[in-house]
Amino acid sequence: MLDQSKYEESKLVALLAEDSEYAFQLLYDRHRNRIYKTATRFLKSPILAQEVVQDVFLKLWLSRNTLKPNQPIEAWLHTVAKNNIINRLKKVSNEWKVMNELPYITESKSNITENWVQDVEYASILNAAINTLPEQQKKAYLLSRNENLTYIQIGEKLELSPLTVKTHISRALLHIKKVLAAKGIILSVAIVSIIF
Amino acid sequence: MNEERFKYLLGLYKANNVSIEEHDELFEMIDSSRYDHVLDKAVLSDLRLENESDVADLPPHIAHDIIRNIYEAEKNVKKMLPTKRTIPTIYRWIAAASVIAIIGLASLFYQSTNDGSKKQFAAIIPKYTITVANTKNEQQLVVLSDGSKVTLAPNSSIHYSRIFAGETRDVYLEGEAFFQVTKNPVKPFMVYYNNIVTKVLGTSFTINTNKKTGNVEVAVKTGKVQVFENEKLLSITERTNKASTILTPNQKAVYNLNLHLFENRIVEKPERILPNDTAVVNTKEVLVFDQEKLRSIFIKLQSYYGIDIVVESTNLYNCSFSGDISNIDLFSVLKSICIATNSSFEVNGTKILIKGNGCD
Repeated sequence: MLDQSKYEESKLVALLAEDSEYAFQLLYDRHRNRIYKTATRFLKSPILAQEVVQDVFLKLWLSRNTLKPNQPIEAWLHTVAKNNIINRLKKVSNEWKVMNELPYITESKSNITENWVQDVEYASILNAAINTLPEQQKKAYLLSRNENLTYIQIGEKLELSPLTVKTHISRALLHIKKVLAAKGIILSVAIVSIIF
Repeated sequence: MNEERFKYLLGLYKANNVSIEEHDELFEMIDSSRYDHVLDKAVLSDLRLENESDVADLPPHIAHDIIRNIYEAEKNVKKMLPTKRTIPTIYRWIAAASVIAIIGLASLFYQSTNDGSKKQFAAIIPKYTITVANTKNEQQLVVLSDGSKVTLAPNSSIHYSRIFAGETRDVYLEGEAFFQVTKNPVKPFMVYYNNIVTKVLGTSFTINTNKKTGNVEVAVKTGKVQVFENEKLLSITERTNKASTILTPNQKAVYNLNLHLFENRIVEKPERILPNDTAVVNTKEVLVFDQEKLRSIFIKLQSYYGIDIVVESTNLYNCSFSGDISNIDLFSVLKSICIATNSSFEVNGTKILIKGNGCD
């Protein structure tokens, strides 16, 4: 059974070398889901996982004339996929780390700000600030604040990668901080409107 | 040293069970590259796993798009290749070009395949035209025979006739450009760009492809512009339903190639409209409101930006606002007003909707 499928795969590779779109489609249908699922498990993002699949099979299609006839194609695909996934994961990890190192957007600081804003008077300013956030930032921010979800959980709800969620939340916090920092001006304006 | 810890965290992460702190710790470890060999093994053994159902399959329509993108990408790679190369170097070119192609693939997601009956854009550019290609890293100004000015972005080119002899002034654009068109009501200025035609009498506007979405966008700064699909690049059935739209300042049309329609939106950074064709807008004009009612503020903003501002409740008109908005852009002004009046705003097509209960 195994031998037969190996024999078949080597035939497919030979066909592929002759530009057979049929062979390419067969190999694609056979291997795409496993690559996609692994990529999803490690990258936590359907979009990134789709890009992995696309990169891997684009590489296969472009190297079809240089593959050796008896090349074990599954191992080839797995190696290419593995490298692609790890490269992406490293990039994500690096950006993640860099974001943690930016002092003005860390969680702890924002929490202090928020506690400070607990006063009823400031609550409306905070709400107004939250309401001016772009839709996705607002959703991500509220899910993390109100439901205490992790970035992966929020990402699943919003169909975003955890890194994108983290970026949204950091930007939201930054925006809210800015609005609050400018509250001197805003507050005086608000007072005028209250008087009216 | 901490391999066990790494494996443990990776397991939690894969199962979506990782806390924010553990997530930080894991990504710190991955970034350090000290656990690459563990990660390597983990990914490989996962790839070899059979029939795990914790994650969904690749959706079939996306699987289909990917295949199409791959074939499309190869076509583009071939186009980029010089024709006289010997075979071995071609593969080197393919390898290099495929890197570029992969980067461009995201935008390919949005482009449909050509069905053969349609012509390619390059085929409709007349042979007798002059071509100016901007290969520099900065913008390049091109002045046409009618006095119109074209500011060409890097890596963009235009094709046009030395003298505009026909009934229209035709310009073919590839890439991105800002146009300042000299008025001539009897000879419309036509810009051909991929599948769309932009027709103007005298105005300024930008044409580009949004790098994020891959959509073609036409944004108008002054005057009025008509944008429609180019018949020559449509199939016969598509011609009967040719999409078309009219734009006024601070509006942009986003062209959806697949659905063949234009969506009008507000540009990202609305600018003050030039009153009565004056070349320079007096941006120094002081705009200070002192307890002014929103009704009159909105009327002013509408005339400054040419964008409709609609209120959810007319009680909002009763609210007052004080502040100096001379040097602030439209959206920042609206944010300030909304914070002061406990309201919010959203952009709805080409209108801005202000939501809130208002004031008595």
